[in-house]
Amino acid sequence: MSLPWYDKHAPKSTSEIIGQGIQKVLKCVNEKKPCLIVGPPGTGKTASAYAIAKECGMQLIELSVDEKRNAEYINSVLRNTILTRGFFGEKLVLIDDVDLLDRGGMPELIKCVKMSKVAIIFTAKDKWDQKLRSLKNYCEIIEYRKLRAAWIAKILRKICSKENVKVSDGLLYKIAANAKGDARAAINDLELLGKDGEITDYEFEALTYREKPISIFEGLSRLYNAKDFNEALKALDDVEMDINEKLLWISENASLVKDLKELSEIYNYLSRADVFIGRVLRWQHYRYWAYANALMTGGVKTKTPCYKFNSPKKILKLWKTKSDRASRNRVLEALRTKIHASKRKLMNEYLPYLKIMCKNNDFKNMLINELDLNPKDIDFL
Amino acid sequence: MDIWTEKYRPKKLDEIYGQVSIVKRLKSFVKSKSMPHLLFSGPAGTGKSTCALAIARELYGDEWGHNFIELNASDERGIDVIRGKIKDFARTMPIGGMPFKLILLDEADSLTKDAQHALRRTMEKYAGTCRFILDCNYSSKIIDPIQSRCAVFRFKPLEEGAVIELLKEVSSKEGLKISDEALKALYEISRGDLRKAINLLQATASISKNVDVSLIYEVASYAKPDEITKVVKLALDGNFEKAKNLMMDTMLKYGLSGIDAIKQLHSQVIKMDLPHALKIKLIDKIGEYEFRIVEGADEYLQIDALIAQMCYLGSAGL
Repeated sequence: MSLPWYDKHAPKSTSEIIGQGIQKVLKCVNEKKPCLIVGPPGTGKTASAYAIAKECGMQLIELSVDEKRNAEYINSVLRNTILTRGFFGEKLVLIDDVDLLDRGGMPELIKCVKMSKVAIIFTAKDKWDQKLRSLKNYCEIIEYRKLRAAWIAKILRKICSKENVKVSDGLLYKIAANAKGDARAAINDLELLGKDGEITDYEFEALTYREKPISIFEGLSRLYNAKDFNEALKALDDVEMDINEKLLWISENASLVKDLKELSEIYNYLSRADVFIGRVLRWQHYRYWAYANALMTGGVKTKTPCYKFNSPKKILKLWKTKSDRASRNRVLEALRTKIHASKRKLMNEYLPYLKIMCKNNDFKNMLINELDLNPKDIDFL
Repeated sequence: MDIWTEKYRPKKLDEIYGQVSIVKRLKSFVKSKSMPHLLFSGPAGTGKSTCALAIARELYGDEWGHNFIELNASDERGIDVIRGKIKDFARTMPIGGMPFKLILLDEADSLTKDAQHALRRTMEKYAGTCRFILDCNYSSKIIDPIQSRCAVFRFKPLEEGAVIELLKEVSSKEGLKISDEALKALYEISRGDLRKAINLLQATASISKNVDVSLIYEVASYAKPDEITKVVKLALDGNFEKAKNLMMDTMLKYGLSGIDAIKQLHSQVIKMDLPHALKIKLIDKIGEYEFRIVEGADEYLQIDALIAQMCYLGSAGL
């Protein structure tokens, strides 16, 4: 049977997983605490789970993306698995790409996690993925980073010796570097090039540059550290995000600039970019995106490099004030039928006074009864 | 309903304070049971909606709900409402042998231009069965073809005498003790906006039945929080981060839209004591960013950007 090399030479023990926090994962597994490994592809997330299972003699049960992982499936398969002890030794449940569950899967999964009696490992690409927000509350989060080229080269060298491939150290390093931190990709390339037992410069030329999505943090870092205007323009091209979200991230971090003149210029360009994005929607003229992109990247490129970035506060704030806003809407909706005024008028001309009047309990109770409101909704006033 | 603006809203045209000449003409419409489409324009709290509601009651009596609907253009301002809800109501015959049905379209100046053009056709087509009353603050925002199809009534802010007389009546009915200075203060603050005056009176009365001047000013300042003033000050001091965060919190807390926020920044800047050159530059910027929001841009980003401009202008000491 011929397995692909990355499978054939997958790590057999935890000591073969280099450069990552595998000890932390091991600790979680021993304590039966659910853990979520996040990191780019080819950094050893899935391999870690397999290596741990092998090393500790655990029975690995994998729920991977090739199943339809909806609520029903999770309920029927996972629930039984996690509630019973293993027949052939301890169980280790691996749920790969947990950000890609089917509809309704996540709430069910969280229910299961809460009562789980066995070790569970989740993997996902992006820590900031909205879909993981609630799951993160129930797991230890362990971040895997891109592998350094030197480490990848070490892995490749080992495989070369087992597969009898002749290759120079320099070339091997080039292959490793070309994979940009993805060990699996590097091993694939090695297999592709080394089938004949020797790799020369000629074969290496055939290796195509692999396009990879990068994280928003890396995109921002490219933007702020770009050498020139044209490089800044391309900085965010490989970030998988829609343009509005990119703009949100850029504007959040634009406020890091301290010089007020520069700050006002940057914000002016961001604002103009935003106008162009609005015009795309309004006129369905997609060429405007080019201007928007140029203004929001080239416009914020600064002289001072920057390496640390914040995630947008707006989303968090909107989320935190969500229940208040819902209450306000219910109050306005109820008032609207009694008072001849629009919501806007109510908000601007009545709410400020109602807030004061509601400090009087008689009035407050009257309002609750008359409008048939939930007392909680009034409390936001 | 124990909200005084509703409780004391006049039910009949005769009970309406001020606006004497307007009421006189409206009464003749009711008497003859015939009227053109009407356009009421004027500032807030001067009795536009009240007049419209009173006409409906006097025309249709207790059954007024069948022949009358009230729509709020700022809540339902799309062209779909004109084509759907309004048309459906307008095209059926009036009930109870009435000559026409009545549609009150409040805040008509917030209708989009497209919606206004659709409305114009509806007004023409169903003139046999239906009359419109359009309320607006600025008649200039209503397209000409609609204006030319309506009898236009311009409501003026109520005069001091009328406001005070009415506030006195409300106070005595509610068993309040109120001084003449307090009544004067209510007028000063509300500037002839009765809704505002009555709301302010009720809010003050909820604290004490003995209403005096200082309490009124205290409540008025409490009802109009000065976060926006702080935002402007922080910005002009070059404190971008703080100004921006306070602005976002304020917008979320009060549910301000981007345009609402811009309006408040604008009136705040006008009020402040600033060098002439700086003031005009600030106003120019505020106008520009309002334009950008209207163009369809994201309000939070635009407001952040505007604050950044204010920070720079303030620090440059222009």
